[in-house]
Amino acid sequence: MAELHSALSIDRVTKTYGAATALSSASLVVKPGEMVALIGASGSGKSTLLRLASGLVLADPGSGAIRLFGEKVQENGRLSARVRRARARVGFIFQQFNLVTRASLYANAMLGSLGQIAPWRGVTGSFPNDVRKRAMDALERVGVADHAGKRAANLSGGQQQRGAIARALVQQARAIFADEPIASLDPVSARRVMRLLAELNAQDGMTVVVTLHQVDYALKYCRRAVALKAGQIIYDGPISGLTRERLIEIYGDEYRDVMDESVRA
Amino acid sequence: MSLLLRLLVLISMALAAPAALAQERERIVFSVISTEQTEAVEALWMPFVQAMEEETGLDVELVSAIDYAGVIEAMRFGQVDVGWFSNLSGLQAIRLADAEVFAKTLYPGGQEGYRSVILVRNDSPLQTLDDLLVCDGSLSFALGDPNSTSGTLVPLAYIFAPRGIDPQSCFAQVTNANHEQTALAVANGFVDAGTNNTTNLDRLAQTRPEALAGMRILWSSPLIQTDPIIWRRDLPEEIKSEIFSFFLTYGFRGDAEQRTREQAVLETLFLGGFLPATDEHLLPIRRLELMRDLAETQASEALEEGERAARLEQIELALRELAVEERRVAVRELAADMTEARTRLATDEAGASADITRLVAEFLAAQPRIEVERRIRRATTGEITRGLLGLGAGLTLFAVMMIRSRPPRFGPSRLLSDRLIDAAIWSGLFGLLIWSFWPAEMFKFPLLGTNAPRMGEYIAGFFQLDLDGWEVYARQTLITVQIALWGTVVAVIAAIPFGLMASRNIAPVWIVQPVRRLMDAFRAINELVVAAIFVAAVGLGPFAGVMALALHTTGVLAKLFSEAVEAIDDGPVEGVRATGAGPMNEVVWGVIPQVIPLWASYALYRFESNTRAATILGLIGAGGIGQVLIQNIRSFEYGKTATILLIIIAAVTAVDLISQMLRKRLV
Repeated sequence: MAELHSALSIDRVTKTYGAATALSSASLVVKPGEMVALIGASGSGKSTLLRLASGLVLADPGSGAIRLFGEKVQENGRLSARVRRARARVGFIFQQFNLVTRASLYANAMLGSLGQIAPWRGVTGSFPNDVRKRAMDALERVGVADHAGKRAANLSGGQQQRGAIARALVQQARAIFADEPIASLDPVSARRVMRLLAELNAQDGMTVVVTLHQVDYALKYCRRAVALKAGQIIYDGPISGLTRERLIEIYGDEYRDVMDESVRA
Repeated sequence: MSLLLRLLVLISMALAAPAALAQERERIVFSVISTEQTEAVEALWMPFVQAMEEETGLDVELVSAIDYAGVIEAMRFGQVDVGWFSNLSGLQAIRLADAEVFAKTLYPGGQEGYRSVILVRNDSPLQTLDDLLVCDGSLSFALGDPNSTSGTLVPLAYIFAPRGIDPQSCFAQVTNANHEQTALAVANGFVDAGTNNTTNLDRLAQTRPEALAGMRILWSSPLIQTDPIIWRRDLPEEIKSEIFSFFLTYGFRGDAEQRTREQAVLETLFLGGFLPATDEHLLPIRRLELMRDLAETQASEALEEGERAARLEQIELALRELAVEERRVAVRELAADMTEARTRLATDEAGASADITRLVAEFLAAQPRIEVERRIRRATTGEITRGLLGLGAGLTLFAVMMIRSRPPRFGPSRLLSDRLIDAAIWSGLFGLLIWSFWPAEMFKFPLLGTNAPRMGEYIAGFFQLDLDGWEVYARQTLITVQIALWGTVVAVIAAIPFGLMASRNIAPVWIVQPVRRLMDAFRAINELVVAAIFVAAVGLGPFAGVMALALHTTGVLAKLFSEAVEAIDDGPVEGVRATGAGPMNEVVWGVIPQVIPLWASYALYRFESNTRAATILGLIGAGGIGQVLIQNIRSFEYGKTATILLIIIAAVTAVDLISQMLRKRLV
């Protein structure tokens, strides 16, 4: 039944911050199993788009509905009553990891179950045994099981980000939204995280929507690209469609010099 | 975290249960006012209380406090049933607590009263009352506790009110302390003169003969009636009967051996037994009180003339009503005396007939005057001048700041609104400071330099440690720490929800604002007032103190907690929210782990300051080191005060060390 729904559907959504327009009447549909790169210059609205999709940010009144796997997140600037059910289906990865830094990596992974278990279990920290097992399996899978007992604050950025992915796995999410997941990481950690996302997409059929600054990562790992400029979607198509001219259109004239310099180097 | 909370609730319930089960026998609470250390007073009264239990078959609980107000509040709410009061506090108990006089005390020699006196040192130049009342602001004077009959009321009514003198403006300094402290202050030369009473002087002759020998009596008052014993009007009649017969027979019942034993107990309490009495016992004190009100009303600078006239009229009316009652008593006494004199006519004709004439003449001469003198006072203009000066200073600074911040010829200029706000804030603060300069007596600042040797002298007194009784002080300090511990824990438990509800990033504004204002109120209301409110429910003692500390600390901690919450990083909260977690889990996992280190520091710091704040709780009989400390400071016992301070410092240091260890674990 759920397979009939899009993983993400956004219908004419606008978001303004005071006088500044972050997103203007944008519509987007992502099908289950896709791996989509959201690209665009800083302030183009790609992070806003992703945060709107999880209901972390409210759209302006008058905006259409946002749904995750058919479950409504928000509509007309108001959160749906079932937003938590919708959020539980999607794991969210943040640039700054957003782990509970004073808790262990293991506890952080278990937090992925908070949308599914009884509230009192979460509040008292009495997680069921299957969640505990899933947490260890997930940490094993992302390769940080050795650090399970350490406080998140004491780990490197790459390790924390993989912990965040483990949290999404414990959540048994059917999609991962990653907002600049590698912007704070060194190149090796960045590659690991991107490979992990690609692997989850390929092997587990997980839908992945990832905002990226680095166009080369998008070209390498994603099949579809959605480009934003000044709050509007100006390209939505195969990744191969990101030609030199199109990229210059997306990032502005100076991007020509950026590309020329990298060619020379 | 929540496991700990549940555990605490369970423990407190388990601790409270046995107390609830224990009440089988009829229980009454008997209060005595202690002018000395509570422990000593309780030991003195114990034989009397035990005898009362045997005789009446009641469970008698003895409470002693160093302040009357708490006892009166307690009696009002059924937490005290029978009490030994002073005349004035007895009057207040009757008015506020629906109580009545049923007996009065006698002095060891059987006297029915005492005299209020004014003491000076033997070597004092003051020889007459007029020497004392020069009112040129050169002398210092010690009055008693504001509610004390002999220490405050009688001197006001007999010396100051008739002469229209306000002690506050007559003397350079007026202090209030209990009788023993006042006596020692005079003996040690800390004040030029102080009030006292003959009963306390008898006691002083035994406890501190050397202090008494150094002083003489400058003035002594007419006889003041002894203290009333008061019960709550609504006590069951059979209990009243039991208590009545116990008090009136004690010391005069049974065989010779029992009488000797009971007289010995009475002697240690400086009593000669009890006589029956009614509320009429308090008529003289009502007169004293009205005279005091009269003096205050005439002297008060805060009153407008219209209001002053209205109050004087009220006092006049009250005096008239009082005169009717006084006359009734006086006539009854006159009738008895006349009957007695007439029966004597047969045996002693000349003496008896002279007595009859004298009795009538005295009765007529004693009829009180009621006319009230009305004096006009000028309104003060100083307040307005200071306000204008503050305003002027503020405006000047405002102008200077606006001129100095005008757009420069080079470099960036600032927004006009920024400049206005900046200038308004700083000039407002400056004006406020100028305005507050006189009320805060900041002009006395140079005295700190010129009188530095006096401070040194004062501090030097502390270096003569008096280690006597340090075990008692240590035990009292422990009690204080225990009170502070529970007060803080209860506050932390309450401050967690209140703190979260007062955080703008957690709760909506219609919850945040009311909760914040409630916390403001918790902080603003003095602990003593809060304690008095709790006394109504739980009686005098440490628990009322714990609750008072807890309420105040809740107000402080909730504010600090909410500030910590408002400063958190939203990231982890979003991280938790994005998993589909509910609001409770967002708080427990997203917020609390971030604020725990700060919350823990705040709570531990408050624990430390509560250890000190618990000092105030002695006033409601909560015990602890504060009560002992206040008494020793007031009686100028430097050596003992120093010992107590050392013990408190040790305790606070210990608390601090433990706090540090705990914080390391928590952070």
